[in-house]
Amino acid sequence: MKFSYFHLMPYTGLDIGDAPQGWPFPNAGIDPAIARDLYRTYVDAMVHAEQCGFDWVGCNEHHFSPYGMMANPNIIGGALAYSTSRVKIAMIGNIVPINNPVRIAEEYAMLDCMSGGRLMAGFMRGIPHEYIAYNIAPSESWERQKEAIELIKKAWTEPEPFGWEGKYFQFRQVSIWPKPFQKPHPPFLVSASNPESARFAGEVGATMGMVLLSDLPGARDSIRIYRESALQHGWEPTPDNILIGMHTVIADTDEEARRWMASGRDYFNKVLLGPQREAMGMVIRGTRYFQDELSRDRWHNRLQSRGEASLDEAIDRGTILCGSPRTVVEQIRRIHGELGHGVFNFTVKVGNVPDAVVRHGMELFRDEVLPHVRDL
Amino acid sequence: MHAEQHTVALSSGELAYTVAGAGAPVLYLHPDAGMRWNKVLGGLAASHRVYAPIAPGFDTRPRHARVQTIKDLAALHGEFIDTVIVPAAAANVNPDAGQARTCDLIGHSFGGWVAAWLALLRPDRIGQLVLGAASGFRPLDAASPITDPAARSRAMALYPHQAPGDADPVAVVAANREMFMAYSGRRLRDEELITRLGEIDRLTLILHGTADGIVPQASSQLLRARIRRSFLVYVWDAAHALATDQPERVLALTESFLERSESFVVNWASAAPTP
Repeated sequence: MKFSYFHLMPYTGLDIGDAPQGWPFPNAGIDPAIARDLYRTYVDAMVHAEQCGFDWVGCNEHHFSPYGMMANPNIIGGALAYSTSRVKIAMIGNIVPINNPVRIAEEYAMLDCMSGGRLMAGFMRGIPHEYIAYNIAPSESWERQKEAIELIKKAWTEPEPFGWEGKYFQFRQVSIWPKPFQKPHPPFLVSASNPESARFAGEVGATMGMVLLSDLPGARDSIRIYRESALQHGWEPTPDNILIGMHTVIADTDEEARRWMASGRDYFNKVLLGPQREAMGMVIRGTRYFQDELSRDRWHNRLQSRGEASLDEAIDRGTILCGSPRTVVEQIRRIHGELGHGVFNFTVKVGNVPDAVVRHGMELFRDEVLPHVRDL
Repeated sequence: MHAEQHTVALSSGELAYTVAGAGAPVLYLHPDAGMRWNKVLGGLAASHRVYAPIAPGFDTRPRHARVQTIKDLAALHGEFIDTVIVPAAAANVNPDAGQARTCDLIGHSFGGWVAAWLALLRPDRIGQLVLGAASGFRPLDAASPITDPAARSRAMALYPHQAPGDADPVAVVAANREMFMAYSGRRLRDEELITRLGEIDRLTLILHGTADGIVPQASSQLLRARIRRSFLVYVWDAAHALATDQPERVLALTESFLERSESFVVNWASAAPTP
C-alpha cells in the first residue's frame, strides 16, 4: 500500500468564539505574519513527510476561506519539487472548470519537469462553493471539466502546435513549453466521491480519489461504479488507481489521539467549514452542479453528517483514523479490507491540531505504523 | 442567401455546381457523402462567393470517362477555377472580389484529399487552403477503418439530426461511397501526395473533430507537420461531419482564417473604443 500525506493548509489564527459567520469569510482580520509562519510550518512538514515514509505529498485548491490557504496549489508544488527527491508531488488538485486549462497544463508540466517526473496531476471539479469565487456557473461544471481535461491532455501530448475551438475554451494556437517529463503524460486523478464522478473517473482513465471519506458503503459503491465504468471503456484499474482518504491523528495513546482529534474536528466544523456549508447549500439547491439526484443527495447528506457525527461514530464508520499506532494499524487494515484500495491519504492537519502533534504523529507513523501496513 | 444551381461544360464533361453569395471567391470540395449546402457554406456566402461543385459520379451525376483518380479530380477543379471562377471575378460578377485570379479552397474529408492535390497542381489558382478532416493520409499503424455502414453512420456525426436537408436514399449513399472507393483506388493513404505535402506553400487551416471516428487525428497531425505554413485546430464535440456537429464553430474559424490569414490567431474581440 502507498501512503499520501495531504495538507489542507488551514489558517488557524481564528478563535472558535470569533469565527465569522456568513459567506464569504471576511478577510480583514488576516494576520500575514501568521500566514507566513503557517506556510513555513506546513511546507516543512510536507517535506518531512518524505523522511517519514510517505509515498505522495500534496494539497489542493480552495478559495476565499481559512479552510485552506492554497488558492494555487502549484505554488506549494514548486516548493516541494526541489525540497524532496522521491515522493510524488500530488496536486489533488487544481479545480479545472474554474481555471484556464492551458495554464494548468503549463504549470503541471513545469512541476513534472522540476521534480524529474514525480507529478500526480489532479483534475478536480471542486466543491460547489468554489464556483462562486471565480464567478463560474456551477451548472456548467461537468461540461467544463470534460472539455478542459481533453484540452490539457492535448496540450501535453500533441506533437505540433494546435488550436482548440470548444464550447467553453477557445485557443487559436497552443504550444506549451516545457512539455511534461513523464510520457505520454503524467498520471492524473479525478475525485470520485459520488456516482457521477466515479463513472467519469473510469471513463477518462483516471485514478479515482475520495480525499475525505464520508462513509464506507458509499465508498464501496463509488469503487464499484468506477471499476465498471473503466471496464466499459476498455481498461482495468489496479488498487493503485484508488485513493481513499480521511482525517488522521496518530498519538502515543488512544486517549491523547481522541482528545486532539475531537478539538481539531470541532475547529474544523465550527470555524473552517461553517460558512462554507451555507454557500455550498446555495449552489447545490439552486444549480445543476450535480446532474443526478443520487449524487446531489449524497453530497447534501455528507455535508450535514460531517458536523453531526460523534468521534466514536466516525471511528466506527471507518471515516477517520484516530488512535495509538497499534489502533491505527488495525483501523487501516479494517478499512483496506473493506475497500481494497492501494493509496491511503492522510489529512493530518485536522482543524487546529497543533503542528507539533502532527509532526509527532508523522514519526509514529514512520516507526510504528508503516512497517505493519506497507505490505497490504 | 439564395443558392443557384448551374452546370458548366469542361473538357471532360459537364460539371454541376451550386453558387451563392458575393465577395472573394471560395471553392468548396465536398466529402464522400456528397454535396450538401450546409450552415457553414451559407454563413460564408454572407461575405464570399461560394462555389460548390458536385464531383462527377456523386449524387447520381454522370461520371467523366477521363477523370479516374483523385489527381484527375484535382485537375478538373483547376479547370473549373479557370473556366468559371476567375472569369466571373474578371467580369465583375463579383464586384467585391475585384480582379481575383485565385480563390480560397475548402475541402472536407474526401474533398480535402482532392483539395491538397489541387493546391499542389495549381498553386497559381489557390489563395488559402482549409482542410477539414481530410482523408488520404491514414497512418500506417491506424486501426482498421469502419466498414459496416450502420457503424460508420454512427461514427460520422454526434448530432446527425443537425444535418441539412433530408437524409439521402440508401442507394445514393452507397453509390457515393463506391465513387469514393473508385477515385481513391480503394486506399486511404496516398503515398505520393504525402511525400509531396512539403511543396504546398499556401497558408493552410486544418480542422479536425475531437470525436472523429472516421479519420484519425494522426492524419491531420501529419498534415500539420508536413505543410510548413499550416495551423491545426481541434473542434470540440464534433465527429467527422464537422459542419453538421458544430457549424457555428467551423464557420467562425473558417471566416476568421479566410479574412485574417495568420492573424486569425489573435482575439480581435474588444470592448475598447475605436482609437
